[in-house]
Amino acid sequence: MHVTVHYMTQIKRSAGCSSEEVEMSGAVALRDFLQALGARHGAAFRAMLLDDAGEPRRSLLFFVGEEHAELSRPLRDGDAITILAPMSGG
Amino acid sequence: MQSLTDEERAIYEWQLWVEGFGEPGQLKLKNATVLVSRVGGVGGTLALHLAAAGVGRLILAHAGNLRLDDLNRQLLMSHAGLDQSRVEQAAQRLRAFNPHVEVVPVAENISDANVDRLVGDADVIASCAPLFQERLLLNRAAIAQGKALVDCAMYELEAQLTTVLPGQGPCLACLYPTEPPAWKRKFPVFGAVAGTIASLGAMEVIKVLAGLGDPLVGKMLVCDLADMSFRKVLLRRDPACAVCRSNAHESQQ
Repeated sequence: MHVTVHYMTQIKRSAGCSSEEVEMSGAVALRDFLQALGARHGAAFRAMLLDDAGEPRRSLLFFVGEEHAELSRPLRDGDAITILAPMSGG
Repeated sequence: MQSLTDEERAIYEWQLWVEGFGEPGQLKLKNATVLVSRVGGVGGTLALHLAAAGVGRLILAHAGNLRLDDLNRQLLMSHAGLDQSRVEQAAQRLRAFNPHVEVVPVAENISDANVDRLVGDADVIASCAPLFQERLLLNRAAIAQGKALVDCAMYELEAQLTTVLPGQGPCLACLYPTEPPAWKRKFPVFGAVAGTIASLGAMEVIKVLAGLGDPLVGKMLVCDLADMSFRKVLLRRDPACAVCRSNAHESQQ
């Protein structure tokens, strides 16, 4: 399964890129995908994406396509995921 | 309700031509009060656009004095105003720009102590503070009092905008049930990013007040000026949200 991930705001810096293509084997839900993604870019990225229990952080917003997605959402080949770290700059 | 004077008709002539707005829309702006939380890079420029558009009364909430590192983005200020009150400078600038607007400076940031009163005095809230704590306080009070809230934020070359209408979509606490821990008070940004999202936010406030167009309720505009991408994403309401779940305004749906 082929998924495109877009990073926005602070997590873009931790990932070191604004987007990337990720291959996954088998059917996965968004939570599984994010947990696997946590291993790709080092400790700072993992800490921003996942909490100490390895769960995706509730303070991040996850979108599949244009929809704000629940972690249980099954992913499909070709999905585009956006991970948005909240911003409060004013 | 106050009517328009001949001078006001002349000032606002170009926007009075906007289809669906006209004099009824202008009267709604004239008779409205908007609370602007902080008049920094985003809130200051947003307030300037609201003054230009003829919103009748602006309450500006912002503590503290102007510093050198404010000047790359806080366009209501001046170099001569260093070490002087930000909110007083903002009020003077807005009054000079449009003397038909009543400007009420409040030299305080949003807090538990003042949020209910300040939100209570306004019809629409413009949320432009650099801390989630203040945004979430405003959100809670706006939901409780049934007031619309326009939330504008920026980071580096990115910015986002959403509108909360109580009972008609998710609130900020649906998105951020707790204060996001990674956010820092100081962040990288250009003034032009502030001006971009401020202008869009001002348009959103005007739309809500005048009943014009389609506000970003249940949607978020996400902008990345690095590649000039502008996307609208759909937001999900949290059915367990501690702020908007059991609010009395739900019954209006």
